[in-house]
Amino acid sequence: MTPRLFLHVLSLEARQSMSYRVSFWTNALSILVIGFVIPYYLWQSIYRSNDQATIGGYRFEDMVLYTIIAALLGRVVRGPNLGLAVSNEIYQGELTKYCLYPTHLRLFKYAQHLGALMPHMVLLLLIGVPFIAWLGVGEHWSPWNLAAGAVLLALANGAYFLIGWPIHALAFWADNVWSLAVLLQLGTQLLGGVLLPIDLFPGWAFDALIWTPFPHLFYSPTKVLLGQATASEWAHAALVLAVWNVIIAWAGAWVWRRGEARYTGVGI
Amino acid sequence: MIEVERLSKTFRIHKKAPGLKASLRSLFRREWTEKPAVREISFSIGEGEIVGLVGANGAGKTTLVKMLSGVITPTSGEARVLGYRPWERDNRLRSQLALIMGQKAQLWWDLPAADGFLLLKEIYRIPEADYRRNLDELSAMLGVASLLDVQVRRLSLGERMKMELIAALLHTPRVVYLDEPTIGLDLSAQRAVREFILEYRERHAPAMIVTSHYMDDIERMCERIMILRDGELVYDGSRDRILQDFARHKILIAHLHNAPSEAALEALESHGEVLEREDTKVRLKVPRGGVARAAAALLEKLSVADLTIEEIGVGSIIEELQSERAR
Repeated sequence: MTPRLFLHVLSLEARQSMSYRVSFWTNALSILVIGFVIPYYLWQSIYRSNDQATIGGYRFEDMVLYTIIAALLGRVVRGPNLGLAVSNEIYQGELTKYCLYPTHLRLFKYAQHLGALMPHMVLLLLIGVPFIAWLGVGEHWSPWNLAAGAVLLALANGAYFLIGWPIHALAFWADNVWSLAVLLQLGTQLLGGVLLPIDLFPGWAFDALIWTPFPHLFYSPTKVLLGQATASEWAHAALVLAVWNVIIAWAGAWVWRRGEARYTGVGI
Repeated sequence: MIEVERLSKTFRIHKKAPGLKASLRSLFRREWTEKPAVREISFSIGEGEIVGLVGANGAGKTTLVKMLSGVITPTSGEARVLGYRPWERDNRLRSQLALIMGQKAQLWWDLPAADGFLLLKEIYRIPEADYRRNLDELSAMLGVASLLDVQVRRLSLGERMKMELIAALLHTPRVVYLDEPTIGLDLSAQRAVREFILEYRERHAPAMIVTSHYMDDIERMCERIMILRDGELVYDGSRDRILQDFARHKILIAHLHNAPSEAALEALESHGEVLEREDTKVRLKVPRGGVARAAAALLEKLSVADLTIEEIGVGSIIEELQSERAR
């Protein structure tokens, strides 16, 4: 697949994703409510009921800040999520048209995935950045934080896409894998630190998790952007993600090769 | 261009009885059944040929097309399209293939067709000059040049089909599969699509396979016809040979001065089958060899004002061949 085609697919998908104004602004509202307002009041009530100044070393302000930044970055890492699920295309026979294109299917889908991410990026800039500035997080930022965070985000985005690929490919056997896709979403959010920082987990769990890709999907990029990660922690996260990306990419291709021979292209 | 040798496809299908009990049981234990969709089919198609692939629903037409376009993998047998096995999905083959599906869109629903065409230009790496020339030529032939900037979802069914045709042919494929290209279209749109396909064939001479349930499509576009029945190829030959080989009957139509008596009609039945009897009209289906005798009997026993002898249409023969009646 040529870079030119990759960019073209990305651009087309971005335009398609931003075709509907109502959907775009509903998404914006959901970011505000689910990403900012609910976590704020949820943690406020938890801290009040505990009657403690800190939980696991996090003050209320730190926890709210972490949760909001992790939720915002989570959208960048997850992208369009189930909307473009390949499993649906397998199930409904929509994959047929892609089978005909003389191009690399997974790269094509990844370009679509990134294109569909664009509305989230625009919303992040429109809502997230002013909000972050208002919270005062910008004080922690340096060119190093931003660059290191961007690298981790790119790796995390790729990892999330690659983890989902073999799961969606199971649709070649099971037809409907919607429940597995939901499980993947919830599992990665819990183990990745979107719902709460993973350093609140027991020490043994934390020590084990940091060798898996999950905490580096959301927790590590958040810590880096908040200026709370050392260079070695960043390097560890980047290396773990890179290695896992290679492994998962290989496993995904293996599963896909076996699965596509079973494709029936229903509906035509 | 297309060589097929004993190609078969069998689907494994989950069998589920109706009702809640069966649904609960299927959560624990599943029953499977094997359904042969295509059985040991062999044929070859050359450059510039348009072959009509016909058969009743479930006869295996679409399955065959899906195998030859590389969408699905056969259970057994061999096929080579331009020298490649289609299901191995070699990009060198895919860049010379097109599959037009009347029931599935490949264009982006929310964007103008022109955006989708630009993407296809990149996918197939069509040089700018060729792209411009092909798009101008195809959109002019189909009369949709003014609609290229309209969102696909806002186009009528016929206009969308025309855009799908352009999308599939922009890269000037050497092998084209058209699966129900006129399905759901009104008569004038059907005619436009047929004329376009024939004109495209004249200009570019690709090998084409057309599946359709509309006999008009097949009769007007295809000189060669393949008939599938229950996954088997029961006829492969020229459209004209179908008449010679399978039109074993002719139709005699007699317009009468007055209504025929029952006795006269009974006498005619020894010459053939009375298909229709109205007040002063009789249609008689007779064996080809007995046409003269039947006509003489008609003239003798009835008061005939006008007598016509007609061939059975290709469409009727095909319908007969693809149905159980022809067995």
